[in-house]
This record gives sequence, C-alpha cells and structure tokens, in this order.
Amino acid sequence: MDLNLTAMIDVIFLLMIYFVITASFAIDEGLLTAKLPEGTGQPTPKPKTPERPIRIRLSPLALPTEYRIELVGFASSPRDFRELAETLSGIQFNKKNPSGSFKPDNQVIIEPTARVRWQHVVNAFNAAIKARYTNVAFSQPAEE
Amino acid sequence: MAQSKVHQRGPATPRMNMTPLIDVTFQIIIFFMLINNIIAEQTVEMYVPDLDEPQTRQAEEMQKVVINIAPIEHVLPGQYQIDDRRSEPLMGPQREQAGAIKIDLTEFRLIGPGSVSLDEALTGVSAYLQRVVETNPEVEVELRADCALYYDQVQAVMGAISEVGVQTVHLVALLPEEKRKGIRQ
Repeated sequence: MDLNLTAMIDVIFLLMIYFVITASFAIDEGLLTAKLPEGTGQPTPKPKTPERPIRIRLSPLALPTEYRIELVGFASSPRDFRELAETLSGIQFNKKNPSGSFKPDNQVIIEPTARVRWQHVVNAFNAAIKARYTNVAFSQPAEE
Repeated sequence: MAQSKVHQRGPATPRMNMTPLIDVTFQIIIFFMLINNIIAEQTVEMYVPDLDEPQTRQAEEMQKVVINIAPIEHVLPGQYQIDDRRSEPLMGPQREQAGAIKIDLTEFRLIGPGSVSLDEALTGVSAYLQRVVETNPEVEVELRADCALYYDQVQAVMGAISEVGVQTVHLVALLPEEKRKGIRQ
C-alpha cells in the first residue's frame, strides 16, 4: 500500500514559502559605523595635529519633518542633506579638488540639539560619509 | 510497452523517490523557523531612518549585541498603532518619546506597566553590555532607534554604551532602494 504524499508536500511547501517571506523582514536594513559622542565614559583620543573640525549643527523647525542645517564658520547653510553632502565634498582637499581645505580624515562633528529627530541626525552623518569623510563623530546635544 | 531489463516479469514503472525531497524541505523549514525566531527576538518593530542616498552597507556576519530604542507603540500597542505612521513615519503624537530600550532579549520599559526610569534603564544597559564585553571583547554593538525619536534620548543610550568602553557602534538605517529585498518594517 502506497502512502499518498501529495497533500503533505503541498503543506510543507506552503510552510516553506511562509517562512522564506517572513524571514526577509530585517533584510532591508543596513549599517553605518559611527563613533560615539565625546564627553561620556571613556575619552575619545584627540587628533595628533591640531585641526579645525567641520561642525554641522542641526536644529528642529516647526514640523518634525523639517530641520535647519548650519555649517559652523561657513557663510552658506545647506537646505537639505544632498546639498550638505555636496558642500562637504566641495571643501574637501583631494586630487580632484586641490583647492579644498579639509582632508578626508579631518574631524567632522555632528552637533544636533536635543529636540532634533534621529532621522535627521543619521541623515547628516550619512551625508558626511557620502562626501568621503572618514572621521565623523557625534557631539553631546547642543544648546537650543 | 518496453520490457524492464531488471524486472523481467513485467513492464518498468518508474517512480520518483520523494524521501530526500521531503528531508531537504524539512531542513529548510527548520532553518527559516530558527532564523525567524532569532530576528524576532533581537529586533523590535519600528521605523529605522530612511536616508537620502544611503551609504548603508549590508550587515556582515558578526558577533553582535543589538540595542533597540523602541517607539511608544511597542509598549502601548492598544493606544498607538505603528501602521498609522506608514506613510509618514516622523508624524504622530508622542512618537518622539522612547517606549523601551531592549538589549538582546532584556527589555527596560520606560512607559506603561512595569516601567523603570531612564537612569535605571541606562544602568541596566551598561551592566548587560559590560558582562557581554568581558566575555567577548570583540563583540560589535548595533544600535536600532526609531527615526522619530529625539536625539537626546538616543544620545543617552550612546553614553551608556561608551561608559563600558565601546568606542564605535553600527547605526541601523534602511539600505539603498536597489538593495532592499523584503518588506519595510
């Protein structure tokens, strides 16, 4: 007498499809490696030679989706994070841009105020990474 | 009909042996069930930041501790629905308020029944991480925070991590559009 396996295989395949689909939930997420803010816990080592850090100040506006970006010490203020990445790229010294005044390993400090949404903070960090800066860190929450 | 060379008495009746197929299928089901449980236990449902031209990279295999800073929906699911923010994750009342901090399987609720103060939660996170780092100094820390949270709350957790001596963390955000495979959490 033969066992009819068709029904069992049908169920097994349905189970398998279910688990394959549900297991892909977290696959959309990726990583950005970041230095932790200075001034808490262990001190972050200071750069060997004194250099002027690039300071990106972020503050909130009326709506949660809105924000203000200020490059401390620079006349222009980028309107969004794409423009921030372009500005950071434009001031970087490299073979293509010998007139730039900041090396790729120059410190970049993101200085958000306490009430800035995490979305905007990570976006500013992402812009600095996109502009190929290698030494990007966060500060303590800046004064409002 | 052709006569079988092996079974001289009757015609050949080819049959597919289903046993290895079923074996393999069961193995695949068990694998996905386990993976599913691990992901579900380590992560909390939230909207991680969705970036402009993201530079995020796919997570490689590593020994890691996952720290989640969960939104209010996680602790008060009856009052706040995570689906309400699907079209605009930054909008909605109280969404700037962290609901819980979860490190691996240990959860510290900041709101609702069984909640603790932020200071107690941060002490708990530091103590847990300290134990993990002592056991395995090579362990990496992954920080998942909801995109709508205020920076001061995330920064407080970063402070608790750096107190243990961990200098870098891996921030979790969505991958570039072309690399996404699943459904957005």
